[in-house]
Amino acid sequence: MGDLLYNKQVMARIEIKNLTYFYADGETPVLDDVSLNVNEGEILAIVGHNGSGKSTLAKHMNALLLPYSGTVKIDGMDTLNEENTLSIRQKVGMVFQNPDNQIVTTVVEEDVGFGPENLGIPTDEILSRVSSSLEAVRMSEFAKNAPHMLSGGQKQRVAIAGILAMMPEVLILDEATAMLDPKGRQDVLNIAKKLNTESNMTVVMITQYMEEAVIADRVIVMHEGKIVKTGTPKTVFAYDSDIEKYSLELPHMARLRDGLIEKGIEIPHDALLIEELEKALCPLLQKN
Amino acid sequence: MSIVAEKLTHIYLEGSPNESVAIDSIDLKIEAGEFWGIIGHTGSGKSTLVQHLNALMQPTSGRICVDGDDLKDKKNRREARKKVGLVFQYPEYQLFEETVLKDIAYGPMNMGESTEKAYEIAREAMVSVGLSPDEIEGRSPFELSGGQKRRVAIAGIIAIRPRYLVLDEPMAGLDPRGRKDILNLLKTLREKTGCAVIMISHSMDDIAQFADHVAVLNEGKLYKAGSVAEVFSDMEALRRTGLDIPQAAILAERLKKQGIEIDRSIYTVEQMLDFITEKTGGVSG
Repeated sequence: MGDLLYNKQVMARIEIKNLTYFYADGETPVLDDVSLNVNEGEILAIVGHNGSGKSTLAKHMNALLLPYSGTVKIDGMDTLNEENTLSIRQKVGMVFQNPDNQIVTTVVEEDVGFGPENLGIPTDEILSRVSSSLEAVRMSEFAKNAPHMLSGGQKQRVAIAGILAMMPEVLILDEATAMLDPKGRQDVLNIAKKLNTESNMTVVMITQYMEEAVIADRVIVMHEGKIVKTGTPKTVFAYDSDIEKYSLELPHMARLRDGLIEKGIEIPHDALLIEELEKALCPLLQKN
Repeated sequence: MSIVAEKLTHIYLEGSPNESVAIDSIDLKIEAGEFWGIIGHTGSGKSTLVQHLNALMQPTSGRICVDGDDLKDKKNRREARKKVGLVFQYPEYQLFEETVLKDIAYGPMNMGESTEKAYEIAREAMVSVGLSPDEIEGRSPFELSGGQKRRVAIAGIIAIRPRYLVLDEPMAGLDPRGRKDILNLLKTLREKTGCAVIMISHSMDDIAQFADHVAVLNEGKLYKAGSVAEVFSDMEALRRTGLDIPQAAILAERLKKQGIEIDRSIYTVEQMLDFITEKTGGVSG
């Protein structure tokens, strides 16, 4: 019953069934029978060590890669059907790791308009999309600047604006923060979070930073081409989590929590945020 | 023995309309054997600073001395490049030889070692970065995993046996295991060879845990420098420069605001763990 109710409320934007993928010469699959739904309006984090298949999985979500076997459907459209490719790429926008590889023109606003222009959108509409996209990433004042003079974080925001101008319904960040400094990283995360809460944008975030996965609604852990764990950050990073088995590590506060639990100090086994540790520790420390 | 920067200044495109001051009057002394973390946001001058340490860049004004020798003198620069090994960002993009062995041996051969001796040094360097020569020396560097390539690139610098090992964001782009492996490798290397490690990193948590000294750059200026405990004792100052504060330090700050007395500076999970264990009388580790 509960399951039925749940299914009714949650609509899957992306449905992946038994997806298997090999690189041309490989014998071992990069993705091995992966099934996963990405639900409307969620922030989904995908974590896993280098080579675990997480980026390959993401690239299937907008038909950059096609399944060797199994299916990937975006709003019911099969990626294997070439006629769907354009609509799929409009629905699912992807931001990559290196901002320098994603900037194509010499003026910021032209760069942001490049995508919609390619889609054949009328000029007026392009202009209004460019200005609202730049606003969304707080880069309006740089509209006339040259992208190569911007910082890495600023470039990445321009890249996101370029994707937003195509009005996608799903935003995929493929390690989009990996080359940024802490401030640039925080900026990109804040923008993703804001798009999610204010415009109900579905966000898929591939990341090496466990601290980033903590802000997601759901985390999946990839290992050797398979999904080995799925759950809320609280369950995936809970006490006794075997996450280190997959070459990952716990977020700092979870590490502190586990250390304290092992010393016999009473802390909720799913505490994960600084606030939660503070709340649990205050009474204990005030007593002494 | 030390690297000393005095009023070190570098201006890009000096005299042109696009002139920009990358580093501005930096005074810094790094003693042999120390572990320095260099932090600062993008564009704060970190990479420019470290490229002066082995004379890859020349100061616009001010000076830099390695073990007392001013790098203004060309002869001293050559000497300095043997003493100061610089690992760039994404160093694996600079691998070029057919085999791992040849790639790592390139440095020592360039410095005049015989092929045989250079290979011997290269194999030692492989072992010190945790790679097995038997398994890996004959392979092409290009068929290795990202983490392995990074190690090969670092081994190539270790093979010149530097007294000062300088690394520009050595953990960028690696997964958590890969990051931890590199950090542990640097720690072990320093313990074994006594070399100084000077590491640019965006991770304050890593620096808090591994470095003993830290230099904070902000808009080309040296904002703070000193022992990790000193620099991290003023979180507010670090926050003003837009840096990431270690989570344990944020927790400590919040607990203090709740009126809890904390008698020491805390910026790593381990320090916090020890503090709480002592305070609550738990079993101390």
